[in-house]
Amino acid sequence: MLLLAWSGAVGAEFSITDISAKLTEGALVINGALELDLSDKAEEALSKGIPLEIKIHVHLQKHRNIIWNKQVGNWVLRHKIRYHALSGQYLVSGHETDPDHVESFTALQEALKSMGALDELTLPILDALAAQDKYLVRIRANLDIETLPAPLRPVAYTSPSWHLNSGWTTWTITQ
Amino acid sequence: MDDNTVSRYVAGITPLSILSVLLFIALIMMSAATQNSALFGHLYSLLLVINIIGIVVLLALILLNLYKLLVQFRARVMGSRLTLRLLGMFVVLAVIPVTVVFFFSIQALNRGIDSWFDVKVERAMDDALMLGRTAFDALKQDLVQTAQEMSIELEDTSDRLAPTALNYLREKYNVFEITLFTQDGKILASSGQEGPETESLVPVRPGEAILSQIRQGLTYANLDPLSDGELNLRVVVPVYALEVGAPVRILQVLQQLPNRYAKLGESVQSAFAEYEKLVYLRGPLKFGFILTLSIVALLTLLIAVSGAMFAARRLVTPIRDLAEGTEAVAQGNYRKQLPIPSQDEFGILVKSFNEMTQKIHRAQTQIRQSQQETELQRTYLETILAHLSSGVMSFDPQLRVQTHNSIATQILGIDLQPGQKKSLRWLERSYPHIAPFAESISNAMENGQAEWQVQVLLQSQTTRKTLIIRGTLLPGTGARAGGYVVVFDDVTALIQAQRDAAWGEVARRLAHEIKNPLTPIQLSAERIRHKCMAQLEKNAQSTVDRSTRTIIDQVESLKSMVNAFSEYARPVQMQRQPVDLNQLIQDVTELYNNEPLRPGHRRRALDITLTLDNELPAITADPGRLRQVLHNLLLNAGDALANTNKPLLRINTRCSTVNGGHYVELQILDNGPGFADGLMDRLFEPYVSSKEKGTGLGLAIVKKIIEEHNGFLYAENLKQGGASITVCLPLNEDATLSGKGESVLKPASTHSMKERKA
Repeated sequence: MLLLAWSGAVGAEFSITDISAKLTEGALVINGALELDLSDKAEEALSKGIPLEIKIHVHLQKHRNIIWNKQVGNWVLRHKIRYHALSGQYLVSGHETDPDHVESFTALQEALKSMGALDELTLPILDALAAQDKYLVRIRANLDIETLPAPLRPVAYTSPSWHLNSGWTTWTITQ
Repeated sequence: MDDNTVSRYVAGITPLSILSVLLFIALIMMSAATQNSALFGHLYSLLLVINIIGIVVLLALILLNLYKLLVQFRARVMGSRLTLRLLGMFVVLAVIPVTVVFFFSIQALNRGIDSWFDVKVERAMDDALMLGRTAFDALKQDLVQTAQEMSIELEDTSDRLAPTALNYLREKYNVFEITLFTQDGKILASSGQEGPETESLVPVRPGEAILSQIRQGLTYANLDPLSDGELNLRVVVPVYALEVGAPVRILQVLQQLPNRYAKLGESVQSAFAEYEKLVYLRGPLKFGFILTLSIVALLTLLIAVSGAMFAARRLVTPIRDLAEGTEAVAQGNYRKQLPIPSQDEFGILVKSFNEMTQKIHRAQTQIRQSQQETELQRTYLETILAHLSSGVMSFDPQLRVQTHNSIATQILGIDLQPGQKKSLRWLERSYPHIAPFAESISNAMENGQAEWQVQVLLQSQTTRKTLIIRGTLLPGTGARAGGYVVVFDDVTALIQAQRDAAWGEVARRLAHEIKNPLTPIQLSAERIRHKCMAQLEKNAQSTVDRSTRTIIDQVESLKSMVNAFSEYARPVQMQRQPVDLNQLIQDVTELYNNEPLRPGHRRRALDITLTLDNELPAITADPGRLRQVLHNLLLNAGDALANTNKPLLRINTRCSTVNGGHYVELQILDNGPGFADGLMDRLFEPYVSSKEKGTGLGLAIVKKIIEEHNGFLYAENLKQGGASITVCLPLNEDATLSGKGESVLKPASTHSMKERKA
């Protein structure tokens, strides 16, 4: 079953406060929501047609008491948001099941909420997991500066407004 | 890895060139990336980091080299000053143009980017967008009206009949897709052009916000961009139920825009989006270009500085090498060879330097060899001189002693070492007994004789030496006159030996020639006396008696003389044994006690005073020969005192040390008239005598016996009158005084002296 154990999220604008994870047969299923609030600079850039890409890193680790945890699997989910000026809508793409599917939202917050929603996110696990072991899920969401236009990258790297990062949060799975 | 290798890797031109080329490639890629090039866009940050690292590395290399250069400058390393000067010049030459180009480029860049944007264009873009929106709004309004009509028609349609109704309505109103949802967004029915109610085509579900909006009774109408870039018009309206309490349903109508509209709309959208993006990126783009330009300028500058360092060092290296080489040569290192840097003028210069040092080295080697040969010859000569039996001295033109050998010291009996570089006059003043030697040399030199030979006699208190001196004028060098080399031999022994041999021969012949007729003469005289005496008258008898007696006496006298000669010429047959000289003296003087010294002498009292050293050690000698020495000396003294009123004879013995040798000294003094001045030089030669009688061999035999005992003797006249003869007999170190076992000799003055009248 799942256990919610938030071990503290850090980050300026992004945060992860509610995650539930469970292990099913050959898959990790995650439910929860990432709070993705853009900074003013990022919002302005988005409204000016700069697409933003948000990366969600998911690490599955086997807990070990004495030495460091062993990584069992890791996944990177990419969600892209851009503003369509003609329709005045925010277009979100990068859904895990259909990356090409574009979803349009009239409001930015709605679009961000959609991007941060993890509804029955199912991530396949290749290795067999032992039932008696304790497993952890580490999740982090951040704005991928490298996907910004090249001229913007030096500015983004040097400006805190562009450093949108939730930091790693660890969630325990108890079976 | 040694310092040179590290230095080559750090400061060499090859790593610098490779680094420069790599950085320029990275710069070109970065420049392309700045303009959003698809090829390098994703590498932009990496390229930026690479370039910054490259700049840092270059800067570090330059600073390291600069630090080393400054350290060398402070340590006053040869060439560092010139390197710094050249480096400064090169850097100034590089920095000024790069700086000028940089600032003008920045200005041009700013102006160029600003010129991309125009208010009119911006307004036109806004207008185009507005126009597009307006056009689509009209279509949207039409579709809203159609959707509302459909909604009214569907109000009384049950969920079960909804698909049919939707198909009907879709065909009636000619729309792309109609979908009926429940209040919470579940699909009730749908109809699309590609195939209604097919499972493969799931209708697009409106978002929660739209549903919420509809639930509030509002209408949603908007353009929906699709993933393939197409545009759909989406209208969502509530479908109210006629029955009271029945739930409100939601109708979504999708209509594809006409192809022409869609293309125009997409074109306006993409152009507007690009323009907006460009406007937004104006600042970052400028920053990016300025950053790239700055990196280019900095990189160019740093590479130029590195190149300047390399060039300065390369230019200075041969000059520094030459300077170091010259210094080394100045300090005497003629083996210095410099590496030839290139085939240019520097190379020719270095080659010439190397040839010069080689020649100097060869010349130096030859000089050294010559010096060694000269030294060898000098050593050879010195060895020969040291082992010569002749004394050798050389003088400079000012008669200063230049060199001498050890034999010269021995022959002259003086220490010549303090006299080195001193004048001949100084030697003469310091050692008066060599005055004849010094005078003969200075006379010869004053006369300018090139070759000369002279015999001189050196006489000191104890010795008397005859030297043969040969001088040669040394050749001068140029205007300088040469000195003199003087070779001299001590021929005293030679002359003495010659004299002794001559007198031995004389004595032998005399003995032979005289002795033979003496016996017949004596016999004849005796026969005349015996046969004729009786037959003669008394007067004649008396005459014959006196005559024959005279003959017989004279013959006897002649026989004595001949025997003396024989004694002198007799070969040495020494019978050495320990002799107590004091005892011997006492024995011999006892014989003369109250006896005339010589037959015929008138009997008179002769005081013989003995002052004998009781501590006198025994000597190894022939006692018989020494006895004869004492007899001869006493007889000689007795003869000298024959006409003295109060004759006194004194015999002293003592130990003495002469020239480091230990002797037993016997001295006989009298108060007679002394030796005649003319005889002093040849007193001990045979047949030299001032007496009317005597053989003239007494002192000669004394000298001969003393010399046979390796001793020496000398005679001198006393100031208070009278004469003395001193005999020195060598004393063996192991000689002991009989019965006392003493072996260490002490000065006579410390010994108890026994004096008595003999």
